[in-house]
Amino acid sequence: MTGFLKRDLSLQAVNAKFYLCFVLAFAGLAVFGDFSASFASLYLVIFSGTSIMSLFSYDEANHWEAYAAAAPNGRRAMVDARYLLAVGIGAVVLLFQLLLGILTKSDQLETALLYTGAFFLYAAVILPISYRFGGTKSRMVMIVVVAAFSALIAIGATSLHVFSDGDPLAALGHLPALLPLVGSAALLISHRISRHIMDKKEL
Amino acid sequence: MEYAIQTKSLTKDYGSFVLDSIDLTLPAGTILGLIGENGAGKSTLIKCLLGIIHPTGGTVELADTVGYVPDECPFADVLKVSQVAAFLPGVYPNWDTTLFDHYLQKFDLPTGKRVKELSRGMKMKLTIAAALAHRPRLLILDEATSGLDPVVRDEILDVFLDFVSDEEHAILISSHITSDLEKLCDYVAYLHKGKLTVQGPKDELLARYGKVSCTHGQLSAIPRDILVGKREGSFGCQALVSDRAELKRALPDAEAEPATLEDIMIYTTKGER
Repeated sequence: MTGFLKRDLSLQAVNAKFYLCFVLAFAGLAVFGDFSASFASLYLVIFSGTSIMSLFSYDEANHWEAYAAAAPNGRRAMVDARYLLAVGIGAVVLLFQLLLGILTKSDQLETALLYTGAFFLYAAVILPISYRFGGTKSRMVMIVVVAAFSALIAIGATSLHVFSDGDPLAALGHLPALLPLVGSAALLISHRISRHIMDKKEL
Repeated sequence: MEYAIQTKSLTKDYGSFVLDSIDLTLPAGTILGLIGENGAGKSTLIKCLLGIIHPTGGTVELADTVGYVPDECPFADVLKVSQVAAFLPGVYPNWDTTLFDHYLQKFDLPTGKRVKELSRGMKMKLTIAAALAHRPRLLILDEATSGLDPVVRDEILDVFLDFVSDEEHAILISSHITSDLEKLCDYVAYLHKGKLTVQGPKDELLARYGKVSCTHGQLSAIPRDILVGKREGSFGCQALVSDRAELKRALPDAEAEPATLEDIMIYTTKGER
């Protein structure tokens, strides 16, 4: 599995410099300017989500999945590696947001937990879809999924503003703390589904 | 294991195409050339052997370690050769870094270049180096030499001959370039419309099959059971027979010249009977 993880990390590194410039620019604005500290992490989450999708495009372009399936335990190892990468990215998002909290002298724990949990949920949905439909087709499916997610968040946020007496985060109660746990559980289920898809897939 | 490959009634049914009950054996220490027209089922057979697609029926037994060389380089264009060298040891348990470096040097592959900067020949050499560096007992190549110039092909064929020289390794290679297979293979299997129509030791097949130029009268006298295919023109006919000795007995005047793999492929595919 380590080989598959290294390959994914090498491919992530290709675009990382570009993404990192953006994230660091927003982080700098948060530390030295008036920008919200959560803005940089939001970008990190968006870029991470995009870059995970791009891995499937690389797989498709080079028929990597067929090649990997011919390697010993290749089908499962490539799935395991990508889920481990998703967990790693979630951890980086969490640590980055906490670091920004220290630098901006603000409490970012709840936001960090929210973003990490949201990223885990996103990965839990996108990974099996990408394994099932491949890099190109899954983008179309993901547009529908993201639209549905956005609608849910918009409805949730509006409801919070209406019913929260001006403090939406407080109205969430323990949800931010629970979200990474919910996301982790979703990732575990998703991992089993992806393995099943890849075990059966004709490559 | 006596055989590097042994399949029994291997079947893959796509509805519109069926890879039909393939019985294939490849003894250790030998090279098997898999020939057949486009769409005959060569890639389907190779993918069934490797577990890339799941057979509908039958059994597959392979040597314990298998190297695979597909027709296209499987490594992402944006990666450097050194990055490929860095992740492959984690993919293959028997990876031998020294051996991989040896092949990189032998094939003149620059580690600092990205895959997209390599020529088709160099990409194929990189894929072959990766397949050989985890010390497989069986090497499976799917149209790996197609599109390469004769010099590169010759260089690669030498590597394959070296690979099987110790009698413990075996190679299955599918190719359209029948002249390469004639040079390289001990055994030949011919797939036609999903069926294995000809299989056997190459030298025996080439000695047995014959191409004969004859008159219309002689053509009609050739026994049907040895006539593989024929071509009739206004000035004469040509026919491929599966048994030159039998032809000599039936038509003592007809002189059959030895057939090539290309003749066997063309007459079986296109020659009317």
